[in-house]
Amino acid sequence: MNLRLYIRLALAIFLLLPMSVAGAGAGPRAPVQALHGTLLEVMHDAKSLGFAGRRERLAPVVHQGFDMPYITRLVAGAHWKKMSAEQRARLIDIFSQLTVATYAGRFDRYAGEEFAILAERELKKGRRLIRSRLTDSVGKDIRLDYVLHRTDGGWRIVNVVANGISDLSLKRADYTIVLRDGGFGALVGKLEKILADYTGTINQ
Amino acid sequence: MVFAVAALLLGGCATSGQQADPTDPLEGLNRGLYGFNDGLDSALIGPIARAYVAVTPEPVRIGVTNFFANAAYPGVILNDLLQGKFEQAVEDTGHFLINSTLGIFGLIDLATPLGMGRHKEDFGQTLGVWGAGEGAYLVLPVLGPNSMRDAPGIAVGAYTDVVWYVAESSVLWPLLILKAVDTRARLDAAIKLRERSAIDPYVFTREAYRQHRTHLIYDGNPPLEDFDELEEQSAKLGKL
Repeated sequence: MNLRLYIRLALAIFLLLPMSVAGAGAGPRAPVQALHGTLLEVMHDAKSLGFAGRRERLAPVVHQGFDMPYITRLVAGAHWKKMSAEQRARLIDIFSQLTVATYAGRFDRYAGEEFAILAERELKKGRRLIRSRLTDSVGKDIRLDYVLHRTDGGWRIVNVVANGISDLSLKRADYTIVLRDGGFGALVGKLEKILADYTGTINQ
Repeated sequence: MVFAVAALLLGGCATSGQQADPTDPLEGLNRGLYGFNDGLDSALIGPIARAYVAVTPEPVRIGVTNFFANAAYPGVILNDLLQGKFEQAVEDTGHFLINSTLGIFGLIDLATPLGMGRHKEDFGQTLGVWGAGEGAYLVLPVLGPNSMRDAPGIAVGAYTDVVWYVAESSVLWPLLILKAVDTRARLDAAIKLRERSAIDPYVFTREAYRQHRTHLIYDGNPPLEDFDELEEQSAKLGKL
């Protein structure tokens, strides 16, 4: 009797174990690997896709892999509180588009580049750091470090640090001055112009 | 030359706007020099660098980059020692000797594939390791972004760079020009990225410079920004 119970229990645990692992969602490496994989894809097909095609391919990966509302909030700093819900949504939207456009513009050819994940480290409050490396055709390395945090929807990238240069702090420094001097309208105007230039010049 | 620089500094003063960043007390002057450098780059240095890339095959350009990196390697070794990185100094000495001989005056980097990694050390980093703060941010004419802490490293770098010991000026000057063109060509992607994505290119350059220097001082493992603090700042009402 007891034995049967044990077997049942063992079986149940055995069956449930993989489910619980799956239920925990993909690990923190997943968004980084998805981004790297898609970047390689668009680099391979850069010419046939064109800027618009690369952007289309990258958009879902960026939207799923990055916590854009969170990043936008931190970039806006103390100005965030003063924005209305519509303004915040507008900024998140344009900021997401910019992130996608930057990737689509930057990764526009393939010359034997390789991505490699080097290490993973726990940070404060359950955040994770994933160290990775982009090696170009001549063997020159660019260090790419990703900071991720866990959301209800799984792990999301909140910052990319390239050779020590944090995208978040760079944009924060750049944008908060515009917010301070010209307010929300000025920032959105500038960002829209950058986005239009991206699309315009690269499409030619 | 000195007068030209002085005039530029004064020009920078005249065009300076309101001061904002306490870590950039010379922002007015710096912005003036930034504008000057930017003009020089669009008019002269940028086009030369792009022409160089267009006409020179990639293997040759890699050789040029390797050559200048190797020639500056005594400076890397010196700063390894000053920072107490003795094992790295031994490795870098091997790197320099192999590349200078078998690598034909450093044109071919044989040492890196042999496991003697390419290190980046300079006197500004040494001062940082010794505990010196960054000091005020500086934009130097032609040379660009710098800081009070890093600027003395320019002289140390020149003294420990083999290129500067070339006595024949008909060789030295073309070499120095080639070194500048090589440096600018390698920065092209970063400059393009800045042109496309920065709202205020001056601030963009300053922040990128500072962060990259910190990254180098910590040998690629700088302390990360404090997200808790960033979150807090976004959660409170900003002062205007």
